[in-house]
Amino acid sequence: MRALAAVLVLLAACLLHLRLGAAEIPARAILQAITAFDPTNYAHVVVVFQRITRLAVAVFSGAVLGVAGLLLQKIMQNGLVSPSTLGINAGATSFVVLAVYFFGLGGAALFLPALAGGLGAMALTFMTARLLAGQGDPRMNLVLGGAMVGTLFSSVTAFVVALDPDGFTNLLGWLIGDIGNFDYKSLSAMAPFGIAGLIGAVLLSRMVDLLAMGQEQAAVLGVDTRLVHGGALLIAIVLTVSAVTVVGPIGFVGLVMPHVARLVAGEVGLLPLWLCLIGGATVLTLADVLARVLMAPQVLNVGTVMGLAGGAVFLALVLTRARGAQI
Amino acid sequence: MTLTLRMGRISLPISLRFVIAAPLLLLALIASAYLALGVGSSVTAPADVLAAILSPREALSPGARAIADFRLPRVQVAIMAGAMMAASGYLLQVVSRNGLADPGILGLSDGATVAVMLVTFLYGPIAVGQLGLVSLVGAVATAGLVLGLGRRLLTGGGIILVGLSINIVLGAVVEMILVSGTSAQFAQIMTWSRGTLGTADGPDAAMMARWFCLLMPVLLLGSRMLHPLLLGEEAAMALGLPARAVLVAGVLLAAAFAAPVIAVCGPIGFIGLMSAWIARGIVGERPTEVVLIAMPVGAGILLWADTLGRVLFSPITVSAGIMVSVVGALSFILVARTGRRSRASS
Repeated sequence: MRALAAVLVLLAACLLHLRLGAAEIPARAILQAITAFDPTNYAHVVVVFQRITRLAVAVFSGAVLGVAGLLLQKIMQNGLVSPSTLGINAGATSFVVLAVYFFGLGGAALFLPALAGGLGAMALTFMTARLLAGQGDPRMNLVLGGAMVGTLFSSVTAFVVALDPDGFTNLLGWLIGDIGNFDYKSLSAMAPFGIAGLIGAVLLSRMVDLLAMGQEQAAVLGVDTRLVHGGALLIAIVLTVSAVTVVGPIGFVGLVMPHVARLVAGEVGLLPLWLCLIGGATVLTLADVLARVLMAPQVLNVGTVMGLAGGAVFLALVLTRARGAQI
Repeated sequence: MTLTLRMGRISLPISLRFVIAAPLLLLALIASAYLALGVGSSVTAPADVLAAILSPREALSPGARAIADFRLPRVQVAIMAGAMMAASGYLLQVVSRNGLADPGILGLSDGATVAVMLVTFLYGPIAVGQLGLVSLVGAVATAGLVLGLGRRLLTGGGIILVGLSINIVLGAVVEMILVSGTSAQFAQIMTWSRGTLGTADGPDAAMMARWFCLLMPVLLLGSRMLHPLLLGEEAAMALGLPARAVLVAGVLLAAAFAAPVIAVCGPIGFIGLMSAWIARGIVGERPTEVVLIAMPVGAGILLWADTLGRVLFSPITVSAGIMVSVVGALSFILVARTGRRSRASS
């Protein structure tokens, strides 16, 4: 029932996405564009070649990031972690920029450097958090480590971009996190990774639930805790990287969705996972609508909209955490 | 080891390390400035550098005139900006009782940036003198917001996370302003919003010098009051210090030090963090000494970052803000690490 409601909300968001923009297109024309495409009709061309492509990218990236966030929050039992707050986004971004600068890579080949960057950033974050151990709240330390690593990698990114500003003009939007009209090309290359990751997340979901009860409990119940922990982490990073390669470092979908899912569906079972998947897609679709409508005719970057909303949510979470409430 | 300076009824304890380190740092800074004046994209004779500093502008050869017109103000701005960011960072560290605080990390820089960008965007270019005031308003407002929200989270990383989340929101606002401007404005504001000394000229240097002369006496007179604060607010109050008032004054002073820097160079992060950390390593904890050491250290860091950014990848100029932040982010991690060590040993 709740999953159905979520799907309906997503469908409504998609319809809104196709309708609104620099020019509003009525629902009838959208339907016609899909069923009886007419290449001479301008509205049809806009719907099919500009909006549906964007929509597909938004739905994919949102879904993938939402699930990645849920996995991370579950295995770390920490409501402040997410692909962006752990520095994974920033690491993947800066390795992509490095690969573009030094090797001139492009398209699907960028997945590997992005993955390396994501893994490297994650490892560095854990190391930093360990260095910080012993002062303050250990969960905050992990996020603080992530923030440091994130800052480090984004300075590296800025540095590399500054070495060749003209060469990166096309990437500037991507660096903030943006859905462009041609992103569907890289989407088709990244989708297999994303979908494989999602299947992995579904399969692992029961194990992760057991792990969330505590390492020892899970071990008693016959779970190979190390394997599950590592596997979930890897899946989360692959999911994140498959989205980052397409749209750039869009933050906070993965931070916010698990909290919403927990409010609606509790902690265990597959329902929270589906909610994160559908909800993430909905959030990013709506953010893309806002990005195009908020200051029309100028188009904002989706990363900007998510930063505005997500920063506020992150602040609220940190403050709640500080009050001692469990999040 | 501590020496005591007595002048009539006033006695000032000064550590031996300070007496040794301060003149050495100043000498190193002067030498660096001389070096920085001599290098750049156009080759100049060493004699020109001296001439540019000592002789009046009319009597200069073309090479020396180029130094006096372009490099001299840039070096002056670098030195003052570095020193002022260092002072601002140290004050924030004392006030927030967190060694990781810095105008960039606590969001003051971004607040000032947003204020300056908004005003420039709405009213067009305005005089650099007024820009300093605008940026002060932005910095003070953000400092108030961050420290107000985070006052219960001072120890550990809480306040830093509050600052970072405010940073994220303000960063998004900056991007929105960038997108709504023309593309020429975009390019100009984009470089500035990363922190650069490329646009520094004579009037900028003069404006910063005015702020510097105005704020230094306040800092020197007030820094003694910071010492009890290191023990915590309650202990400071028990010693008869109006802790709340000093805290507020400290935040205001920190914002005032950062404001003109941001108005001229844009947000340059991590200098406060790095220089205060180095200064504490040299002279220990006494606030007046730490801040007086931190200022030349910060000036040196920014001067070297700017000069290296100009020369290293020539003909490309990497702006000082970016140069500093790569090194700065690494030292952020180092500082956190030593923070843990000192806590473990105490």
